[in-house]
Amino acid sequence: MKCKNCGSNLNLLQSACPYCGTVNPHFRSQRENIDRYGKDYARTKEEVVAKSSRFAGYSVRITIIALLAFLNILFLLLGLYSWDIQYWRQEKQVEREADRHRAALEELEANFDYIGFSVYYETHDLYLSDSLEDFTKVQQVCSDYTFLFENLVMLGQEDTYQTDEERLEYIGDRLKYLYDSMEPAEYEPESYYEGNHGRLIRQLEEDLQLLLITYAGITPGEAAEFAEMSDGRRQVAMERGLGLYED
Amino acid sequence: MRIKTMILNAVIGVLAFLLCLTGGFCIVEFMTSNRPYITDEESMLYQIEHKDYAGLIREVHKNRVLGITSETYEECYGAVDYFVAAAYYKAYSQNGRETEAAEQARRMEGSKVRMGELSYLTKEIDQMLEVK
Repeated sequence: MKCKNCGSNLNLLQSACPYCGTVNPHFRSQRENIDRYGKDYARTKEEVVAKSSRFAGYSVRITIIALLAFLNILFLLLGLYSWDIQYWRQEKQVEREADRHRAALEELEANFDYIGFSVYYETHDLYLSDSLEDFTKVQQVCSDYTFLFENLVMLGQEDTYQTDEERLEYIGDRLKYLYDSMEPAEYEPESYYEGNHGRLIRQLEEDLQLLLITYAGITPGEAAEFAEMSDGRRQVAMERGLGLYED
Repeated sequence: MRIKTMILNAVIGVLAFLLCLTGGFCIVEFMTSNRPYITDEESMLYQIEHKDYAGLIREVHKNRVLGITSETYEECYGAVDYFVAAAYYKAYSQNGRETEAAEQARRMEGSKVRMGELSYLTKEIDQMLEVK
């Protein structure tokens, strides 16, 4: 702008003309405007900072809450489904190691180690493997044999847990399962009974007869027909063999 | 504003506490699920002391499959093996199966050696099963 008196150049922020000393009439209002704008700027800045920090505080907390809620749900679900997850993992592991398990099972089978076979199969959850399915029947009879062995050898022993009568009842039930499962069912594949599987099943039946003669006191004649006998007749033969209810 | 912040802080606190519970629950569930039950040495000795050899047969086999071993365990395994071999020995020898009986007698001898300090139990097992 120009000085009204001498026409020299004047700055808005100069209170008077530097050449003639005439007062600058716009200086005051300009100064007030600058001060007002400065205050407005400072206030706006404060408001923006306050609002943004409040917003930041909320958003951080809400993010933390969302994260914690998600983790809570995740851990809860993992805990609830832990058995299913472990089952799935075990299934994969068994399938991965199927060849090793097959070799071990074949060795136990060849040695007629019924108890060892049953425990190995159960401990490794081998029922989960489709490729070891042909051992299903052998496992079934070996498991029954193991139970029968454990109970037959304890007949006549001092036992605080079970009486001979109770043991005989369990033995009778398990014998029924065993003899039933030895009979091939229509829906069962032939592979269950082929080769070494069939050989083990026949040998197991023979060894079981020896145990029944020795520990349940049945006669060799009864033992030979034991599989064909009714449940009741088997029970009576064993009770008589042990001398129970003689009076 | 302060009330809102306090409420959010309280929610965070509660969720953090719940996270500890769900985390612990999850860890415990994973540790216990599908883990085979293993009979410890003390339980085995207790069962042997009470002549419950038959009740240990599966446990001994399972422990072996899982590779669990120690000096005490091996002595217990030996005692149970002796019991099983003696039971078969009796069955074979009483039914005229001399070859198999002799094989079981060898197994009994082998087991007796592995029984170590528990080898005194062989007499008890022999008496129990009436093995001569």
